[in-house]
Amino acid sequence: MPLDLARLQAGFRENALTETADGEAAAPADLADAIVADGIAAERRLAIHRNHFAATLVEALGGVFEATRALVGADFFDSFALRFARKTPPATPCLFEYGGGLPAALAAAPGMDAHSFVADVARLEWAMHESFHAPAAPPLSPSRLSALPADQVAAARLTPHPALRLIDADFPVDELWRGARAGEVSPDMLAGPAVKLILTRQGVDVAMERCAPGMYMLLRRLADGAPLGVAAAETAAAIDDFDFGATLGDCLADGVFADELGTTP
Amino acid sequence: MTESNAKAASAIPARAGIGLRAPHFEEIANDRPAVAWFEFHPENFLGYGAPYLYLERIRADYPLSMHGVGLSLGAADGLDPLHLRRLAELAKRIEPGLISEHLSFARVEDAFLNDLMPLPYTKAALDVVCRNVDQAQEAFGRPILVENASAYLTYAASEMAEHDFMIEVCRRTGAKALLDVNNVYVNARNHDFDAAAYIDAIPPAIVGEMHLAGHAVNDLGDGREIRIDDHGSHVDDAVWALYDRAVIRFGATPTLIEWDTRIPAFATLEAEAARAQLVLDERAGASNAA
Repeated sequence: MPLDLARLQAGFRENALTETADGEAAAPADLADAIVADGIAAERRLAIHRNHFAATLVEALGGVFEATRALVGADFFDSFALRFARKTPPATPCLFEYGGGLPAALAAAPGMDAHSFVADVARLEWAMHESFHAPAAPPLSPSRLSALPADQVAAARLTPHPALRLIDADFPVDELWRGARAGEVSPDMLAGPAVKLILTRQGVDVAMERCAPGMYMLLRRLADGAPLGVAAAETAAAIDDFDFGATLGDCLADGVFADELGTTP
Repeated sequence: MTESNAKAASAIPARAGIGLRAPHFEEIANDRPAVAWFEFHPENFLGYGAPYLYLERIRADYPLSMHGVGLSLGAADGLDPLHLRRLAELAKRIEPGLISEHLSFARVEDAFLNDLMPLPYTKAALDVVCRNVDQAQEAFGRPILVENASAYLTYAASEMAEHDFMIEVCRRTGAKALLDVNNVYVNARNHDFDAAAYIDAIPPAIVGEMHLAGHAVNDLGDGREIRIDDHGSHVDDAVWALYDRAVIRFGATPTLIEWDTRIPAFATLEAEAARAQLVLDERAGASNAA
């Protein structure tokens, strides 16, 4: 009796995703039996599809996590990425959406707890990737904010721009990222300071900047939904010499808000 | 509608076009090379981020065809409704001249396998594909084109030839055929059938587009080989010869040069497109006027 179409397709899923020991077939026997051998064994034919899944997804992940791959070495990254792909295959056909779980999986990998900067760099790379693919949107124009009546400014809710990403890392991941891509990572970099970064995108280019603790906290609170007055007061209370006016000006110049204003209900 | 919008929403001309790939976005958007049309993979643009900004700029200057790789027309459990909605929304925004997908499956249950896997050519699979094509055409509000896929294996259960399966899908759904000439050749070599007879069996009226690409020869030793449709090299001479035959039979037809792995400089693709255009001009009497 011929294989039901759903069962046949499930066999291809198994063929792509099953971890196997050497020499063990990944595809189920009923799928192999349904294929015409014609001089080349069905397992060998199915291996083309198994290899295609592996090669294309490892390549896609290596493209997103280029610096991470350079830090851990291509061999380690590729075999890790392959295990990741088999365990958590893409859920949508849009490969730009694939790989968000990799930094956490990498952090949890055996032996990686002593190298937590690697997962920090991976998180940065995923954030850059997300920023690149985030919907284009005009930034908040300063005139819209200044047009608000004075008594409504404190209650205003500023919407983060879709491409804004905030990074808080224990290591100077910006230097590590640049160094890894240039093949110039030095142990000194690991001794460097913790950093806070903002990623923004104007047009097609993602910009990465270090940001002062005050700006970071203000943006974090605004992104969490706090009204402007509350976010500013909390930041001023927590950060010495926080200059709200100057920080807000920098934020507007960097295009970190979308061009819409909400008000506190 | 602005002048550029009118141009972008226009039909795909019966000329040689080029597959739009990320390494060339900047060059195409800035230099606006003389190419008759481009074809894009919608899956790369659904974030509406930086890639989409390029697509919008390119759309202002060229007719665009939307060629999906992830809809999985052969999926036994039907189309992914969310993905179909996202594609329909993109098509509404871009207004591509043509919309196409593959006669294969790519998603199984919850996993997208990033591959175009071959279907058994059975009546049951035909019913599944026709139902899915109907659903896609309903969502897009127009007929689509369905492409013959490459295959490295065949099924004992198949009840009809690959081209008969495609012809029947077109007959039942009103879809057109996107005839990938390289895939015809690759499958003919892999499965030992006559590629010319395949071309001759396709009714000219159903062919709406053709594809050309390079393929690799995977030498298995022991005198056996499998041809792999990797889109990573120049179009093979034997495929050019088959294309010649196809243009004589089908007449002037939009023809795409695809190159997806080891992507070369854009000029290399322009040269391949020029060669295809030459065949169109000589064999189908296509006009040089844009």
